[in-house]
Amino acid sequence: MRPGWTRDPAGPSLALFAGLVIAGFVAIGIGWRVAARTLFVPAQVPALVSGGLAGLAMVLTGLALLTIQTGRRLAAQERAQTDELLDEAAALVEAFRGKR
Amino acid sequence: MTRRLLLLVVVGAAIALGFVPIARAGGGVLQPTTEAWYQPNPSCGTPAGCVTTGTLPAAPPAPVPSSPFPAGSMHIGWAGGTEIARSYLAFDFGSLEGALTDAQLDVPLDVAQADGDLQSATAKVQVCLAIGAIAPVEGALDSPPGVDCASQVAMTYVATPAPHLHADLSSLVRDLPSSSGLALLPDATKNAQTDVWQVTFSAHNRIDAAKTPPAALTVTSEDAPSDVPTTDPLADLPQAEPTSGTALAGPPLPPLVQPPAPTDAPPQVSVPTVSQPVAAPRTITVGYAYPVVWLLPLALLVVVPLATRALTKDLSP
Repeated sequence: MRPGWTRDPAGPSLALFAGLVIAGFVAIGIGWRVAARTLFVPAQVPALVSGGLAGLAMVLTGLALLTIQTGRRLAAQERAQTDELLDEAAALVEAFRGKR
Repeated sequence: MTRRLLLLVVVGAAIALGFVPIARAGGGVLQPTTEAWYQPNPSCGTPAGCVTTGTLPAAPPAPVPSSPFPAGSMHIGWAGGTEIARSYLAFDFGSLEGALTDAQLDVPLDVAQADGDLQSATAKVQVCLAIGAIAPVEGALDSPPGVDCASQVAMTYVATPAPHLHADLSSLVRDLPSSSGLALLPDATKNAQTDVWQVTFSAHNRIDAAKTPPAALTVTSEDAPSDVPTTDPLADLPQAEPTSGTALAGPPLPPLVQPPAPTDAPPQVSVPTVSQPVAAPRTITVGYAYPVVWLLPLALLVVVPLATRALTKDLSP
């Protein structure tokens, strides 16, 4: 029995992108920790670049991908609902014709 | 029976002599009673001038910790052509009697990068006399006690048996008892603009697991008995790891502080020897602080195809 979120076609990808966002925050935290424990600006800059900027890039990329994938998922659901509605309408028309 | 009695007398005399204060050759090892370290106040470069806790309009509700390093760790540092940290050591010279004739300062180093060490082998530290009271502060931004560097002494880095800084303070012994202590600060005349280093050592009251032995001042005084211990100041330092198992059976390392030679020893015949230059040991660690970062390209290699596939997949339920 698969868990519910894996039955959703977009579930694994949404989890992946959410993981990217979390990894970005972790990178920012590590960068802050490394930069905070030294007084040397030359040693703080790599931590700021690698941890801070790269972490920020991961967070923004993850959020952008999450937004795109959520939009695609909603569009797919909307298409499916439209198809379902059309099927029901066709069935209704067919039933109306049968009565006449 | 006579031999046993003689042995007993010899052993008893040796034990008794061990506890009798020896006059005319006093001295011992002093540990700091107070340590402090200061860092430059970053607000001093602003047009408003230096802002310290004393100049604030209202006192902060709780003491603001200004040291990013472990409590009880002391620091001396240089970066960007300027001093970034200096330390002070106060000693109780009252426990000594008689005039000081010699003083040797040994400062065992904490070489853990997480505790603030950075290229300590390249440190150029000088010892000056401190002027003014030394308060136990860590990373204070206030004005540090004054220093008298008229007769400063350079410290040398010694890598074995454990990394430490050593200074021969024999040129300072005349003024040492009247001073408030010692100031350890970067030597601005010897450090270059591009030099970057920081040394870390432990205060005597440091309690965390990374604690190294505190600084030790080995002093020699004349014409007075001394009750201070005469142990080797670096005896409790962790010894350097041997490179192989056979090294354990090797000859013992020479002591860091050579005991004075007995004056009534027979003159030794000098044998002409050719002195060979010995390269100073350098401890340079080459590598990355976080080697796991090299897995990131692999992670990227996995994530990009997965993301591409996820973004082109039909998401119809």
